[in-house]
Amino acid sequence: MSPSDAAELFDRHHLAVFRFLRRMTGSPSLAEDLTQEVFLRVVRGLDAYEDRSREISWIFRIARNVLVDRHRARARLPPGQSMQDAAIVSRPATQHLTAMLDEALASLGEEDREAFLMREVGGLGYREISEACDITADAARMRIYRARVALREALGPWRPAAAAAAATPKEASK
Amino acid sequence: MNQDSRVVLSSFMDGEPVDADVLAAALQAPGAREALVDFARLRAELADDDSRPSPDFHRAMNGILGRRTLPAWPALRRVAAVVVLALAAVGAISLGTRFRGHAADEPPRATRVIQFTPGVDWHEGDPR
Repeated sequence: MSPSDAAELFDRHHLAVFRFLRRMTGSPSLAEDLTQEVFLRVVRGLDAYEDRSREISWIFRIARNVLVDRHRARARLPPGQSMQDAAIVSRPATQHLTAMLDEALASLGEEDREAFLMREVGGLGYREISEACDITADAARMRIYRARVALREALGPWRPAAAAAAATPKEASK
Repeated sequence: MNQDSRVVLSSFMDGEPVDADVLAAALQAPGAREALVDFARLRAELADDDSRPSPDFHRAMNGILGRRTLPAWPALRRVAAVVVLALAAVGAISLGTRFRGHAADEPPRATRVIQFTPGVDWHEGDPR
């Protein structure tokens, strides 16, 4: 593969990877650093990469490895702020809806959250998620299902109030 | 609604193959409609994400990917250098042509001769 192939891979997938990592970490600046690391590894691994039909699985597998490495690096550091704490601190207070969703996402188990976000943010299918996470497609199906149910329960009491708040400005402008 | 029904609905949401009979049964289950709508709402809320990396990120990535930040600059510099050299050459030639006449030994030829007759065209000693 040539450098232009790496640039094409970047153009095709960097937004999905960035948004996936932003949701996983709760921090845009950290997501930028991790996305950069992902594509640095993509460039380094291009020669070994052959199955072009599965590029999205490959890239998200790298993204997952970058996250795992970060967790390991953090585990070696002295105790401090957790990733979930960082997610809560970094949210703008005005974006209540987004904040609630981020909080609910942060409450999910790591495996369920990453499978769910690969599906909803990355647009990966069950087979691609199974390849990225080294699990079966059925396991991917169950992780996504568990995440949906947990999010639905977490957001349930809040949703009608948020929907009413969102509808108020439209009605006032009529 | 039992777990199997919701798993089928979740898979259906994701465009994965599901058994039509199982899906029909899942949709008949109490709470199926609400669950499906909530799953769709979740998807819509997550899809409403227009976040993008900063320009600094793109500058760093251009370096990693071997892209030039301003790819047109080298070509523009070459064109500008050629234009400057051409203008300098034209200026030098035109200046050389202009100053050649003054530097020559012979005065320029007259194109018109005007004659003045004393006493007709002017009068000596008359200041008016």
